[in-house]
Amino acid sequence: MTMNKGQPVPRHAPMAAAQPPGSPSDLELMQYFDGELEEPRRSAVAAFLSADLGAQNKVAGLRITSAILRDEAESLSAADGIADLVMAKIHADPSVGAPVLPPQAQVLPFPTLSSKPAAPANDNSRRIFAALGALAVAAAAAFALWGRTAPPVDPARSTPVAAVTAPSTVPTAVNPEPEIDAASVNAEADTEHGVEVAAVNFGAHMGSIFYVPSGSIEAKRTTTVVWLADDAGE
Amino acid sequence: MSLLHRFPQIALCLSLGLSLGLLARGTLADDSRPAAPAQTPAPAQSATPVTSVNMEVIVLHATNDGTGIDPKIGKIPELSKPPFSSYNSYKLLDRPKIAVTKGAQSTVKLPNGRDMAVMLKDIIAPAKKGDPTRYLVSTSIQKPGGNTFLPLLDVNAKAGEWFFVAGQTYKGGILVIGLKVLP
Repeated sequence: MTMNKGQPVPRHAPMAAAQPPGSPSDLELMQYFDGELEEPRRSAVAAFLSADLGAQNKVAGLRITSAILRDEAESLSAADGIADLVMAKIHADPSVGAPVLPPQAQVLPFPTLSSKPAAPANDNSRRIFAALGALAVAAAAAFALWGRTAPPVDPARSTPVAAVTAPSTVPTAVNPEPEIDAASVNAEADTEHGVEVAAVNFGAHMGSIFYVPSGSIEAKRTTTVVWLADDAGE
Repeated sequence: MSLLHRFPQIALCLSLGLSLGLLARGTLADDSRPAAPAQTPAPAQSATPVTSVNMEVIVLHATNDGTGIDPKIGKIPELSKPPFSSYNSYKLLDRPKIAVTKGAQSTVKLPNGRDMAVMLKDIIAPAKKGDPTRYLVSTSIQKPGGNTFLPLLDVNAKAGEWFFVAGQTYKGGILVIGLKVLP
């Protein structure tokens, strides 16, 4: 089953066949939802809505559609490049980025210890001492590497490394970011449905399937939502 | 100062270096030992076919009472996006974990008195290396009188991914039921 992201897919026609007298039309419900219905009809529709689950479901559908459209409009306005233009303007301004110091500020060298005696010009013992220190560190590193490359052989643990990679039937953890080779990148793979609807039967109800973005837009991962209208209620 | 006078310092330095080296060798050798069990082959029991998985079910009450999203729900960012954003408040009602066995139904009692049946239909092995295992899960919701609210919903799911069934009216709002296969 392939459905567009965020597009509700009605499975059953809404119950608009025979309406009881006095019940609001779909147009009136839309006007009521938009706040465009005049009195006294507005009060009559409000009273009807409070008692009729079918009409409540229709208004809920309008609310969902309105939320989807609002979200889409916001994401489009956020992606129109305003941020890039602002950043380009900042980078183009030469005054930005230069260090600004108050007029009285002065850059001073870091103070040194005045009590430290000056070393004689011909004293090489410090260099020799540093070289021997480095030699000691090198010896330590050599010992460490020796210990790493020549471990003691334990006969009880002589399992070959090649035998380690026996795959189990079901992995205990799913790799959250599987490797994607360039050949597999196509339009279908752009959006990753963590859960795909294989089959659905909404019965006597009106239903929709949504693929809701589950993270950032760049992640292109969606969460599957099956939404049913419940006329019978509790 | 001559090199001879520095002999105690040099000897101390060399002995310190040797001690460090021996210590490092011993430490690394110790580190290599616990790593060995992790590289041993998987036990034989994991090679047997898996016929059941654990699933987490989350039952939420969505309303527009302005109380916001219950912190006990945890991080589900989808709740602030359409179509969920048509309700501004979500309260956690229940969060059971169920064991779902292949071919057998597990039932979750919903707050509105209905029963949600969940069944594991199949486990689909990865087609190629790196692909996740997928689980074919079947769900239905029965009314108390025997009628069916949702006759059938079969999904092909990765472990750790939520899917939701929403819309049952309940106490001035709706029920939102999330399900996921636990890794």
